Amino acid sequence: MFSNYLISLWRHAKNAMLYPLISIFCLASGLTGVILITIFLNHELSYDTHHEHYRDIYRMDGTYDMAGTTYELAITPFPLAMAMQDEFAQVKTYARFFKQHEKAQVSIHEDTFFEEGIYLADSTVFDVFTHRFIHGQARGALSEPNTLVLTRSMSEKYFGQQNPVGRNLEIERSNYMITAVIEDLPSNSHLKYNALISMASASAEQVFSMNPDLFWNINETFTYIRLYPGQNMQDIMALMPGFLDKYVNPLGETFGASAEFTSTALRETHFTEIMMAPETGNKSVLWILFIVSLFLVIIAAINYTNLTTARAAKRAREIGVRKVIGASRKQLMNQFLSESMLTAIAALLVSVFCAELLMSFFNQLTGKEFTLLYLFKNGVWWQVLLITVFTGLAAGTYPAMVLSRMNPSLIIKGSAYKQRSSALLRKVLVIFQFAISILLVTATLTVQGQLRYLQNKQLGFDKENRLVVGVTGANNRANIETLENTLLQNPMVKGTTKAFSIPGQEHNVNAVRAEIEGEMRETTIAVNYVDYGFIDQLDIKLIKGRNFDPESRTDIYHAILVNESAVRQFGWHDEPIGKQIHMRFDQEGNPQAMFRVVGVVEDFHFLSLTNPIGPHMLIIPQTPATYRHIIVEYETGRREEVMASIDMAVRAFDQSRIPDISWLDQGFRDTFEDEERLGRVFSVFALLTIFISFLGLFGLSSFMVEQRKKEIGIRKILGSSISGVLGLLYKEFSWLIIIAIVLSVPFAWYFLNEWLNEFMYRISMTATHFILPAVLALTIALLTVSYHSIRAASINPADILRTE
Amino acid sequence: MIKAIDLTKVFRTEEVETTALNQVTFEIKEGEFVAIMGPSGCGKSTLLNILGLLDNPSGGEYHFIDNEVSNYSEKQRANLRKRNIGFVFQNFNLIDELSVFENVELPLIYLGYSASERKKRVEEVLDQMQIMHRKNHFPLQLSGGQQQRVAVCRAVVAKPHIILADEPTGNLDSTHGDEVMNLLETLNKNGTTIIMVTHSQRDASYAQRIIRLFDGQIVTEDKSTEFVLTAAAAH
Repeated sequence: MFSNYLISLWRHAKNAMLYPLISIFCLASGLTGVILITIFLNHELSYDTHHEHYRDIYRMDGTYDMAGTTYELAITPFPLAMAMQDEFAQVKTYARFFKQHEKAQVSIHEDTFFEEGIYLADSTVFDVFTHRFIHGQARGALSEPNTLVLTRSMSEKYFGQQNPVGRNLEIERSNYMITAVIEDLPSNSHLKYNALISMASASAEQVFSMNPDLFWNINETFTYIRLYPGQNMQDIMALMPGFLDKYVNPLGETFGASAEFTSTALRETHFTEIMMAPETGNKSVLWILFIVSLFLVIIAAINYTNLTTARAAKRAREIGVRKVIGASRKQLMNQFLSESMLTAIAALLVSVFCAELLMSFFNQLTGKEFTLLYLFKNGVWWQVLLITVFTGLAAGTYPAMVLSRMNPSLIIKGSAYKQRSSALLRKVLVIFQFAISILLVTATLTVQGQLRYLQNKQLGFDKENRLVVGVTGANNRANIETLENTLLQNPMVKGTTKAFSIPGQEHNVNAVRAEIEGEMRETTIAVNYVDYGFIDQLDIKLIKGRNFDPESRTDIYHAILVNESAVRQFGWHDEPIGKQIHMRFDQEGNPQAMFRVVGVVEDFHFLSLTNPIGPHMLIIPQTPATYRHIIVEYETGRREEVMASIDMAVRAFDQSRIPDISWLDQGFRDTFEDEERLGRVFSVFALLTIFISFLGLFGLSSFMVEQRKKEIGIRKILGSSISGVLGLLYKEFSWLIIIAIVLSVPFAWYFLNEWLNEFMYRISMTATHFILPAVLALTIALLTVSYHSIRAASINPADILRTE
Repeated sequence: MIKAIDLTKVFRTEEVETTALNQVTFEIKEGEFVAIMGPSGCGKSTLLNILGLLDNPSGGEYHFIDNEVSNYSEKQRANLRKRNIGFVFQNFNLIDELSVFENVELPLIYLGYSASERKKRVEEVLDQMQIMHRKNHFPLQLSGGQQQRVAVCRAVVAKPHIILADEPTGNLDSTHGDEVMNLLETLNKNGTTIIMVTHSQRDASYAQRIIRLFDGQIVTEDKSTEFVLTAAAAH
């Protein structure tokens, strides 16, 4: 029986190759998207599940409230893990990770490299997390001071294929003995490390003390707790208030601050976007991609359904004959479902090939490094197959029902097959298809518009033609002015300024007392240490008072410039100049640093655009060694040239280090990397859906025009012109698209506004966002149907009526 | 074998109600060759659809091989049909995408015959109808007469009790038409009941009895020989 279905399908396809090809191609396009997105989704949702005990592992996060400002951080104090193990019987063990350097300098022989992902870790790290050991063993690997475990890549980089266990490696000028080599961490690990140094290498006072002061030394360590199997983190959380009373609250109360600890299940850490968290994924992006892939298969399935029901008339005789000679409805449904399944399977084979072709492009979009092999791992293959089968069934069910329902007696006399209900359904499906396409195009335009807005937003300072030289090492910082002078001698350098923090990146937020309504009240303010030329060099506008005066010794660590937000927040509207801020308090609460406002600058985005502009003050530090960066302004158009020459100058300044040079706008660009990716993904998938819709409409219009040929012939005989006939056909299709536009606009408006609301600074949705996709959809639809319409309208009516 | 009692068929649309068959009563015995004649729109095809179990009547009784089938579901009708009835159509209704062999094989597939049994029976019948040499050809590669011969092969391959022929020579020239009628006559002589709808007096002359329909009612039931004489006189 099945072979008979196959024969029939194959010969039908051979006679009219265009339509099965369109069906397969559309389904393949949809399934290609599905394959790529399924790979991505599986990867994102499988974070950290390779650890044997992942269900029992939690990261402790901290919420700190200081003077009314709350900070949620993925890092917690050093003593927390030890105190938790002491207090809670559910805790089996813990592991802490502490990064001393963003990029640590690693040296071997004469070679020096900067390496990321080098952490100090507890010796229990391998009891918490699962690693495969290539050399050495877990037990005792990180027990002793100055011991080191490398990943395979790092080991191969420094020691080739040799076993490095027992050898030394110099990190930040200290020697560490390698005790083990572990397999590289899988890409779906939320915390990525290349080397682990034993925690015992750090000062015991810092990392092994239960001193309550350390509970307030917050910017320190990632804490992971492993519970005994079957234990519940909720139980620990229920006891947390008592724990806080014992360890945290007493000291916090002395300076009006409080802390709370929360837990994040290991599997969720990848999606928990809080401050200081390692690179995180975005669940809403996952949802968006999931919905987009759903749209893709729906659109492709709709094409199949539409083309098959439209072609029903062509197969009416076959169906009738099969019925007359005894085929049951079930057998016919099986036949048509087999056909749709075979089409879907053929499409799947094509899509695997297409996915391979597009993989590198997809990797660029997502910033990952997938290969097609991932498809055959972790059950991804089965998911894709299941989606394919479901798509095949979904696409084939309606045609199978319609076709198998045909009354065989009608075909005995060769009556033409006409079914009003399926014609209506086809129109509904076309409307749906185009509504989705318009929605995606609108989304693309909005995402791109928002990104353009963010990229071009006035930041309140000039970020163009400026690069940042990071200065590390106490000695270098002490001599930062020497380096600055060297850089200034470069003819391409127009000016320099020094600062502790760089606009667009993290800033210290300090608990201070400010003069509010005549008294010193506790509050918080973001602080940056800058030199005299900072605001001039960055074109930050001074709106009141004066700038720092290099001639005035009293400006050092005494005069401050504040921003407009500080003036507003502290209620200094009448006269901000001369107002006081106190900082750094001793045990008795006496201020160690007192500042007076000498000027007010216009608000500028000292943090990335995901943050609002809060109160900010600029201070001249007591010593230039405080500065961490030199900002260099260079001549326009000499970007690469100046980078090379500054690189050389910095190398000459400290030959033992690799220069750390970046662009001033880098921080702002990095912030919206996710959104940029989303924008690119939208563009690609919007194009794909439009293309699939276009193909579907192309196939469908040929049938719709075919069905109206007789009418066209009669109209032409009665005097209608070609343009008159075209107008008639265009009208029919235009209505479908116009309805699609009307339907998609409210959805697009709602969902895109929701998305834009996530931004601190956003564009407003305007008519252009909707008009452009609408015009595009209408143009594409009319161009698509034009091909068949013009042909039909141009045929001699006598020919049409003769063949009817 | 077939007994229709007050068989009625009414077609309803939103605005119009048409009575295609109006209380038609007749009986056809096993082994008979009956022609149904009448002008266009008299209800011939509607009657053939009901007799062929392609449609249910709106009223009356229809006894088919001792079963009252007027209220049978589509599934029940399909089941009864495939075991007992073979169809021959004016426009042949062969599936263009299937070869001669595959077309003839189709009823046996739906009856669940094994591949070897199918091959045996199809070749047997193709041989009998002298179309074996065309078994791998497709319908569009055959003449009208050959196509109708294939259609007859398909109608008889499952050895049905009844063959319903709807204007079997309507699309054929007289030579090919005669050929097909001779085939039907031979089948009838071998015991197959044949019911044929036709406009042609010549074809009707092959039948033993003629049922004449007009406006959905039987106007006469005659022995066909009388008409043969008339037809012969006309020639």
